[in-house]
Amino acid sequence: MHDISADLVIRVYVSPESATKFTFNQWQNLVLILRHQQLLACYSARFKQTFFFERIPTRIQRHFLNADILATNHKMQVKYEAAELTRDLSDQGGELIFLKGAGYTLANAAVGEGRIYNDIDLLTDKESIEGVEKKMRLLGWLSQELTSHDEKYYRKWAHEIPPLRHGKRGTIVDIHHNIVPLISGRQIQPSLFMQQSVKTPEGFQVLSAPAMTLHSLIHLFFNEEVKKGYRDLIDIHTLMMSNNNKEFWLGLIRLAKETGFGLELFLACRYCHRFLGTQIPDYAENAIAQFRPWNIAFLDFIYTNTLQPNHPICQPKFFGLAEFLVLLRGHFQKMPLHILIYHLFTKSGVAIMQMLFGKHVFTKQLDQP
Amino acid sequence: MLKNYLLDLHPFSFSVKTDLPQVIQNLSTIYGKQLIQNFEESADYQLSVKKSSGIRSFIRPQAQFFCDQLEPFKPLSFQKAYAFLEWGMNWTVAANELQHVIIHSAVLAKGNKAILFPAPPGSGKSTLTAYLAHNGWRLFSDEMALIVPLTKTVIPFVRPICLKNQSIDIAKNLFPHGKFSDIAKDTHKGDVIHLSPPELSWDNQVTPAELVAVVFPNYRANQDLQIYQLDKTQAFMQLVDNAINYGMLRDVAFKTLSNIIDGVKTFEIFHNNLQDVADFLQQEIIENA
Repeated sequence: MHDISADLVIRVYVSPESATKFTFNQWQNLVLILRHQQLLACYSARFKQTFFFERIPTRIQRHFLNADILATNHKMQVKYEAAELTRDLSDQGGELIFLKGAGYTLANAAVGEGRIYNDIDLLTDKESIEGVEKKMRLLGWLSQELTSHDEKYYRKWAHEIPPLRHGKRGTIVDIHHNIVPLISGRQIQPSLFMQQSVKTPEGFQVLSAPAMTLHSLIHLFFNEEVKKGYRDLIDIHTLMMSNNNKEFWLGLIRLAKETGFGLELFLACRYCHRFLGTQIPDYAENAIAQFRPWNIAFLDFIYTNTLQPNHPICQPKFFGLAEFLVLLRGHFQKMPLHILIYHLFTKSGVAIMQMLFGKHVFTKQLDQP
Repeated sequence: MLKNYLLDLHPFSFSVKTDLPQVIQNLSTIYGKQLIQNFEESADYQLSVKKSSGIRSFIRPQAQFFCDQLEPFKPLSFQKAYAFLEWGMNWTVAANELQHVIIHSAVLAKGNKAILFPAPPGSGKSTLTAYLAHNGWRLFSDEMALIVPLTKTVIPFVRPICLKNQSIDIAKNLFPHGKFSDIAKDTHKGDVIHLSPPELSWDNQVTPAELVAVVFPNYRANQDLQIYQLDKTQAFMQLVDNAINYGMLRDVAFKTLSNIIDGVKTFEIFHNNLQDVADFLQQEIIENA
């Protein structure tokens, strides 16, 4: 019935020709998986690049065209919001750097093509963050309702403040003052990243290509969540392939070393190459080999299972277990044990209540469609 | 046990998984032969309506709606499950489809001449829709007009008519042989029932038509038929307000809507008699277009 595997979904990205003999049902399933992973527009761009788009059945093309329009809109929206934010916050003095998706788009980078955004991520210095938050609240950005535990998590331990949502437009902005959570003990100097920022022709601050790539891979491999793992892997692959020169690779390796994220760089190169055939130059590969961890077999197990397209139709056999292990590993990396136990205890209390009383037991008011 | 059904509703197909007997029963009342059982293939959209898990599966049970893995709404009480699915289908189309300019409006046609009836809830739009659909007009949709961009061509998306509160009794009296769903009580729209349009609409569900008029209907209990010609600007702005994906399609939507308004008649009508309206539409619009 489900005649499509995660492996096949990846192969279609790497070489769209693999879809030549797809049945209609396989196409429908591919669309379903890609929509779930927010990758329809990304694949659409790939199909167009390789002149394969015309060979997709018309009824299926429609889904990709819908996604293209959505992605174009998101791009415009992000540019609009970024211009507003840059203007509104210019009096705050501190740095204002657009990270992740918004950064890709504002940098007009290949990796920004066909992206769907859930939020806009901003990096500012810790001293400015209070002023930034106050100013934004004045301008109609509101924080969503949080449990007191979540509020405490953000304020005390995290590297960002609770997300702010624009009252009218619904855009969500995450403001960070560091790249990784404070509590992780990996006290990297955010200035190491901030020094790496560049101004785009349109006047937006974004990270340089090496810093952008490093941040992208830290976000994937120094994290407890891999729900969008495959998409993140494609991002890293695209960043690497569209900047494939010596200056980029040396800069990336140097920055990874300075900030202590060599392991994450090693893993990113390993799985990008394994799944997407990313061509990493020999000198870079040799330099990165120094970061090879002792427990590579364990990491291979969890990441080969979770970095593939993730949908019930095509989930690998050990996906659930691997995802749980990523969760554990991510939490251990980010929090000292005593805080981790407290955090998980609170979170699992919520989960148990939801299991008993249904998912929406804590949902405050029933919204109706 | 979850059962899988296919609803092949031009121009979109939905697979529906559900373990709720009342959903299956209502689906087959409303969609008749459009509903295909034991379907194994994929459709454009995979929907499901399921019982909530945990204690809520037996204490005041709730139904959850999913579009594939996504749950866009909070659960509703059991008894509203079928209406929930209908709204979920509307949401799915509104949230994903950008190949048409979609206007929140009823569309009915005679031959290949179609009229758009955009109107807010409470204006008697659905009652009028039901009346026309049972009196020789072809229903395209009660909720969503799908317009081919940059043309005046409207594509049918035949779905049941959603009647609310007092209109339920009126409709049951007017169309004693109508195929009605169960009543969903106390929704955000009040009591709600779905009514399947007559065969004429289903038989022609792939045949498009050309728009010839936009009519904004208003039911007023104490007012005989009054007709006002709307000026183009007013009519355009009202269409924009009702265009679901205007913000997404931007210039394409703007051009499509202004092209429509330029090329069709635009009226606002007040009435307390459905047959008067039907006569007006037939004589003044269809026969003159």
